[in-house]
Amino acid sequence: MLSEHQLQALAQRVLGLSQADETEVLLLGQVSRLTRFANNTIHQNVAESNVQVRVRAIVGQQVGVATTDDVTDAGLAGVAERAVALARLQTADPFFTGLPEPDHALSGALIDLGYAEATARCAPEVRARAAGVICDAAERAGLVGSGAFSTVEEAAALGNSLGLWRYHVGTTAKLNTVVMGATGSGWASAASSDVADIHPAELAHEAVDIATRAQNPTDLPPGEYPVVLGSDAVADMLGFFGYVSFNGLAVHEGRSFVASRMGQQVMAPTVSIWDDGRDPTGLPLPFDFEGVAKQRVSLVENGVVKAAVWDRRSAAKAGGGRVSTGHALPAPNNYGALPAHLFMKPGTASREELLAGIERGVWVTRFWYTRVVHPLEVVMTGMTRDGTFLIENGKVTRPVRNLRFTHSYLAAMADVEAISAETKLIESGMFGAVRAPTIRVRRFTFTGATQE
Amino acid sequence: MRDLIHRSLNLAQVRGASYADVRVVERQTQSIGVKNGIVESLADDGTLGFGVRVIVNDAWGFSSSNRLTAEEVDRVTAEAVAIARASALVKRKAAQLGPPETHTGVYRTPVEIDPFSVSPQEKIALLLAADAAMRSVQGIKVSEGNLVCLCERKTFGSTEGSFIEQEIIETGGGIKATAVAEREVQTRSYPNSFGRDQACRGWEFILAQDFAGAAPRIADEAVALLSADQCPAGVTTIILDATQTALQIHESCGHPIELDRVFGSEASYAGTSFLTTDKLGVFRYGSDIVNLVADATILGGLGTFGWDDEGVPAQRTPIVTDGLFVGYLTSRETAQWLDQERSNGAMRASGWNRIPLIRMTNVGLEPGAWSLAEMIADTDAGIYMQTNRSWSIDNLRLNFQFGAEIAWEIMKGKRGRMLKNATYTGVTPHFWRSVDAIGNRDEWAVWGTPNCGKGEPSQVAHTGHPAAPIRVRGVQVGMMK
Repeated sequence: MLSEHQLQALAQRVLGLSQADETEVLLLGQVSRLTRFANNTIHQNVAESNVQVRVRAIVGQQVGVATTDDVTDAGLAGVAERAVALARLQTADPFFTGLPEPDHALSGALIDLGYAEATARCAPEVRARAAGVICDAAERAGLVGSGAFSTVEEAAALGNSLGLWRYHVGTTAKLNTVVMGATGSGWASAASSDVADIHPAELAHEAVDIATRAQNPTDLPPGEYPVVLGSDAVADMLGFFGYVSFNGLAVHEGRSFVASRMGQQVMAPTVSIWDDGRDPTGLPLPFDFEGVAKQRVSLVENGVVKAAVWDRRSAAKAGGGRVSTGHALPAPNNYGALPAHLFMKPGTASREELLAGIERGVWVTRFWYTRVVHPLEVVMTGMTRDGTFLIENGKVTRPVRNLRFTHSYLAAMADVEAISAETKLIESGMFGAVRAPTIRVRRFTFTGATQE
Repeated sequence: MRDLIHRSLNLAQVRGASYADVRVVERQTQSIGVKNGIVESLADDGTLGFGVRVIVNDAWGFSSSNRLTAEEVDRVTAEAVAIARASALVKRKAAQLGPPETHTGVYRTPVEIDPFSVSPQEKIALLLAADAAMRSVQGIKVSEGNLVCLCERKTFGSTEGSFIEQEIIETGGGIKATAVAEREVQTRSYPNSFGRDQACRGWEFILAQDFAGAAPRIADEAVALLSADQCPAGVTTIILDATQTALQIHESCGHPIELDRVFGSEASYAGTSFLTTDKLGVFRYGSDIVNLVADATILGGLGTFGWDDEGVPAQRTPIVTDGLFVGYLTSRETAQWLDQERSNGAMRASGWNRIPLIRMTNVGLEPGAWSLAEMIADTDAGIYMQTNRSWSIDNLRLNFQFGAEIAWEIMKGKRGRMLKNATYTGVTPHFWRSVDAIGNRDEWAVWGTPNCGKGEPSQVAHTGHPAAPIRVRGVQVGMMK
């Protein structure tokens, strides 16, 4: 991995070569390694070393973007030239308000927030042994283990011709496993900046336990049931809220429920959701992809819609004094802003308390292949996977076949009855993660089941 | 480049590899996006790097880098070997590729007009004309359009003596109109959703689309959908347009025939497959008129190439013949597991930094006997759905639910009222067994899917899907909580 000094030298070289009025250089460095296993054996084991150089050139209010991973002198000269050439071909963007000026919004202490040397230096033998622990546990139980264990070191650096310089280096370790029997499967996963926080034996135990209990599932008729949704399922909900609802551009264009319900109670009073790229209990990245310091944005407070997130362009487009909250994606970006570090406030409930009072309901370990059916109401469809169980009289009693749901995530959040005290970090890619609890929802609509 | 490839192959063998291959991939992608009359993105993305795949001690290793220097080639090759040795610590089955595949040659996507020879100004003008046409329709809140031109040059060498050079060119584009009202948002796309249709063809592919000509129609439809009736719930006959059929093929045929999924290689992520090997040659996948083929050789398909990323020549493979399931997409390794003579050439990597996985080539439906008009005229009651809006399917590729951007009721052989938020659900073999009409060759076209996800780390593949409209009996529609 290139050091901050080396990345800054690359950025300075591009800035020196650029003929644009203003220039921004975003450098994304990555050394990533991933060990994958299936059928109780390692079948894929890969590594990648890369630096992507992304140049945004501005001529007047015309913007062009070019990228390369060729960091030779010729490569850097070429990318600088191509970005300017594209900018000159552009039409003026009335919503481009200039690049960010240098500021002191971020302290040097944030440079390696979320970095663990052990993760960056993790040897393939460490990942292989972890895979072996899970495969052995699965095999002992007469089951089949599969999964992936990744250790990633990522640097994000940004310099612009106005003198702004940002740099962050972080690490991510992630291990997930699906353990399968003939008729059912179980899931376990963990993510952290520090590979030392990943405990393969515990994950093996969890996945084997779920898989063992998931065998010989019975049918459950489609219909409305109370549900307990595991952290992975809740993380999926939060991710989609971030994707379709709390993006300021979608709000401005009326494509999000937030547009018409700002300040209104739309979720249960116990539900609070925020985005915080500087929280070390997530996978932090303290600035966005145009160098703006990330703000902690309270999106939902006690069930009331409070805010959306913005990048500089969408804030300018929406007007009304809005400013970037530090949630820009890499240029060119016509999607808008994305809250990629979401947190949901934990409650106080234990597992028993989440189950208590449910006469007949469904325990969902996680969702799978969820897609938007209707964006405004956040109506979603998807499947349950890797551990779906019937709840009877406050107890998890027996496995049921995977179910298809078609239900509004917004309605589900309005029907939250209990929230666990424990939360779990779920890595979501693109320098982001979601920290989510387990929740109990009064009613949830299942519209079908897997069958052959 | 040849020297660097041979350097890596030699070093891999010296360090103990029984097999190695090296891919050097350079890709240039030009993309243009317009929105509401403004060119919001104009980008030129370049990537160049190499990946080394090895078998050591009967186990796999792979490493890759963006730096094409002799020193880095040595480091990456050594790392690939070290990773393979670590893989061997947890090995229940030896990695074997079967008989050698030794090929040399050059392949280039045939195009009439090189898309990179067309100026960005001309491309921008084309998109802005369509954008203006959409916004001329009252009620359109967001109008969008995009174009993508891609050129990928890849060189493959292996310790079995292969040396292959390929240049793949892709061109794609699409437009989209979104209308917004109180508590309702509706979008129409052309020629397909997912932002665009894409093909291994030149600029002629875009010229044939006539975005500006189609723009007013889709804008009108988006606005009309705001006040259209909700698609009713029930069990009925549906007719899918060719684009939705292409999506149906992709999700419920293309993925479950990937033999790595069948053998569990994707179990922890994408899932497995209901098409287990005991079903090969005996399982009734669809009705008698359903014939599906995987064909990497057809002109212009997004899954068309000369050789796959294991260096196996492009092939045509029957998948479903007269309704019977007869074939998988395979790799060299999985073909061995199935006791097949050789791979049918479906290993594709999304770039230099990824290993090849079994991916769809051009998996498509053979044409039937019906025109769309005949199909509708022959339907007493049903729903005609166009253009995918949402797609979800379980990890066995059995239970699916798909949504369409727009639908119309069919009553007594005529297209009636417009319906919004149309969805349908089913179970794959039940669905395909209920197909009783397939569009003829005039209705048939090759559609491109540029956003197919699979693998860890994730890979996005570009796949082709020949398709025609289909009629399906007894389908549950109208799931909308």
